Amino acid sequence: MKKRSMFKLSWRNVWRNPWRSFSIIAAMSLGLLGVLMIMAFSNGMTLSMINNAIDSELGHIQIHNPEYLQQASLDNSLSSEQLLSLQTSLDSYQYKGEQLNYSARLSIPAMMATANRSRGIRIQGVNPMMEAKTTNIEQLLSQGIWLNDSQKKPIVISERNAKRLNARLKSKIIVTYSNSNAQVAGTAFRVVGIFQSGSSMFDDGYAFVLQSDLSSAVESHLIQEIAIRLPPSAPLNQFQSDLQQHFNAQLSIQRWDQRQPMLATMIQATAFSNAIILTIFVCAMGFGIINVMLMVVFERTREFGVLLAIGMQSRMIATLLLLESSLLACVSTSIAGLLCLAFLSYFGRYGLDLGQMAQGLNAFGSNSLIYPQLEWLQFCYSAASVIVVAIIAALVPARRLFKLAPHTAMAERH
Amino acid sequence: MTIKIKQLVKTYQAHTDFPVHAVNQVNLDIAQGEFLAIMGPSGSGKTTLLNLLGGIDQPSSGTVTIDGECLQTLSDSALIRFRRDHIGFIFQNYSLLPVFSALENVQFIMQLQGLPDNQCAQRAEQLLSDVGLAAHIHKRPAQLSGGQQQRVAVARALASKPRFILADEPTANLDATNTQELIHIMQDLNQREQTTFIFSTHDPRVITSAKRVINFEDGQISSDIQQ
Repeated sequence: MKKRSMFKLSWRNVWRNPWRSFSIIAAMSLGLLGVLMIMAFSNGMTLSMINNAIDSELGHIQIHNPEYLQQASLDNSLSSEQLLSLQTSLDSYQYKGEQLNYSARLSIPAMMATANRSRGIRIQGVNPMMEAKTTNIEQLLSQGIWLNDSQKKPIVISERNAKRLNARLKSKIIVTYSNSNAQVAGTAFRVVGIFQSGSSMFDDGYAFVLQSDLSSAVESHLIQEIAIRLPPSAPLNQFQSDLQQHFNAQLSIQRWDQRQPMLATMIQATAFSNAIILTIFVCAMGFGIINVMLMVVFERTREFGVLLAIGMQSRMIATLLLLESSLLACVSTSIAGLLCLAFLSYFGRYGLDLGQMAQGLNAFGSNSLIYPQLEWLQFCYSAASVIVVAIIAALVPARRLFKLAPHTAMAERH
Repeated sequence: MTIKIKQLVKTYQAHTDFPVHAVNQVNLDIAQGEFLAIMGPSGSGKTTLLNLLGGIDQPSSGTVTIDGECLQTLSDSALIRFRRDHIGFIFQNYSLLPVFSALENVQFIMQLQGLPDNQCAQRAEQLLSDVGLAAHIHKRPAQLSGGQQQRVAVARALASKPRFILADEPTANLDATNTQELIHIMQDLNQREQTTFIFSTHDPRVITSAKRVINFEDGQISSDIQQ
């Protein structure tokens, strides 16, 4: 029998009981839509966390003296030769005609204090222009302006820290630190800008000053950290391994996910939880399909007996049943896909505002405005797993057809 | 084409301690082109005998041989192929596929045989025209009367060019006019194409039209009359 005829027969069989087909298709579509939306939401949240980390702090790659990662002190800075060699390499890098951006930072732990409050912080001494090209701190300013060389000892702090220190624009802040002679020293800075990123951890932990101011304060012109931002779609792993080969083991060259393993773990955990949710859904759907197809076999036993009698092989009847089940799954995945596309078109553009959970989300480093995203591959494997499980589930009732004798089947009342 | 039935027995082990012999030691020869009616009271074993003849049930003992092919030696799938290619079935309650039109129902069996689409469509239209349904070929069973559905069933039974047709009480659900029309159609086909028709029936109008009448009682042939 031709495939087209089999397809026609099974398609019409699907719709011979429209309400039942409609209800199972609605259940499968909405269930799958729910799974896809959870995936898209998780992707959006994870992406927000990654983007926040890369854009405001890490860049794509960070370079340190390996010792610095063990003990973050001025003694473990990059040497002048290393810095020169790095700058030469980084300045010559191009990907599709675009250069990379990097920011060399003097980064030290310090204590930040106003008249009556103090707080531990990491002070980043930066070149304002280079930092602004590498990270988005300048764009995150909610008050004031970004650092520039014409200001006198300027400092940029976060809104959270400003609130805690009871500081505002133009407030004086005393920063206390250990200088290169291991002596405690202090410098007064003036607040010129206040920023707010999507990550409360970052906001709590960092403040920015001019590198020249910090260098003279700590009496060291060395650099502890270089953050690199690659051009869009440049091969990150290739770039990392090229640098590693060039500098052998003298430098620690880490990708953003190596620098913040929690983020990498978060991505894996999200993928794992998505897989669990999908598995639970397809299992539940599988039992639903078994139930529907058992009903089909029960209701159409007599008809199957007639088909056997007039010369249709059992395996063809079983194939018919599998085809009906897979058609239900295909229709359901198509509807779920279209609905998902509609939701993502809207929320992907305007975002899903979870302002009420802003504090919690910021603690994880995520913005409260989430832009759900779904990769085609994720949709494809979700849809494929629904169809495969629908076929597998239909095997259970289909097995009964092989035991069917035409004369007993035709004697059924159904 | 001849059908030879030898020592055919079908015993059902009912819920009682006593086995029921639906067909008991039946011997019968049926020649090509016969128009044969099997009559008898309800429960006499007529339907069981037809099922055994058509290979849709297996006997407890004995054999059914059609043109030298013993049905009991065939595998399940070979038996299904044999039925598809050599036997036509007409059932009491028509048993058409409700999702197919009259034309598609008749085409279906030819598609099972693997015939090309245009050939299936041509023959199906011709057969439906022969049974007087040329104007209804695109209607589904639910849109046809009982008599029209049974005529579609006749066309379907003939579609595979079978050597014989088994009809289990084909007129049981039909009124007098439709019964008479169906008998004429089947007689015409029997005479024109020498197709063997074997009926089980209670209907006196079918019995009087048959060339040979077998009376079946308690699973055995009580009389075999040529008319």
